[in-house]
Amino acid sequence: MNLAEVILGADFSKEILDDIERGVQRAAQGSAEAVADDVRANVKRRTGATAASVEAHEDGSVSVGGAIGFLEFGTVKMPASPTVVPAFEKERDRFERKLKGA
Amino acid sequence: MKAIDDKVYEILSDDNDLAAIVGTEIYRERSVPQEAAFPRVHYGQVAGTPQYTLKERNHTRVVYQVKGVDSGFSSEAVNSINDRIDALLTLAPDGSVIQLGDGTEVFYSRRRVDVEELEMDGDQRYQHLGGQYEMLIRPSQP
Repeated sequence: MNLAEVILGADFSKEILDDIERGVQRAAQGSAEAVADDVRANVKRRTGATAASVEAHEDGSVSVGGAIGFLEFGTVKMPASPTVVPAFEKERDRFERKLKGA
Repeated sequence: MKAIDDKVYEILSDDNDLAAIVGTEIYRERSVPQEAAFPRVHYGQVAGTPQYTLKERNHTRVVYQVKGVDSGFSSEAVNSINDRIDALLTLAPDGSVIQLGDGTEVFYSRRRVDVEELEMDGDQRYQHLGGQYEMLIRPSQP
């Protein structure tokens, strides 16, 4: 008996579970791309290196390099200009809706 | 969202334990004077998202970043500030709320992300330590 059967008490075939997994992965990847696009569009630019470093990954994660730590959290001389958390927050509800439809 | 901003400042500035570490050096992230002393606290809203049911706004979700900042090599002050911030801004899951005074209340407040950063500026070393707090705000319940 798999975990879904234990939780839901249903008899899930492998095909149904695979469909769910594919749907979740599609939703995660789509949301990662939306977050990455938002960060690229809104991150402060000086050299463009931070915006160019933004990557969305298949597993739904987003990586950002460059000066993102200082931009996101601020320094003693520069206030924070967060872009990652606002982008994540904007996408969060859409992701939940996508999951329900997956 | 001025009410939540004012309340966060009030919670931080009214605490004697935090005052023993930073005095009155508590600043909005965007209003830190250049001459501000260390150690100090920076706070500010990072994100705010209204949450809707099918018919109406249900509550608002905000994310606040609150951190201690200190210069030098000792981590003692930022660690103490970090602990105090967490104690002050974490709302117990026992139905407690924080009234904001504008007809709304915070009914959920938890740290979601740790903020830990080491900043070097020439020979100067600055430590930032704190967290981002997710807070849910709704109309005050009768």
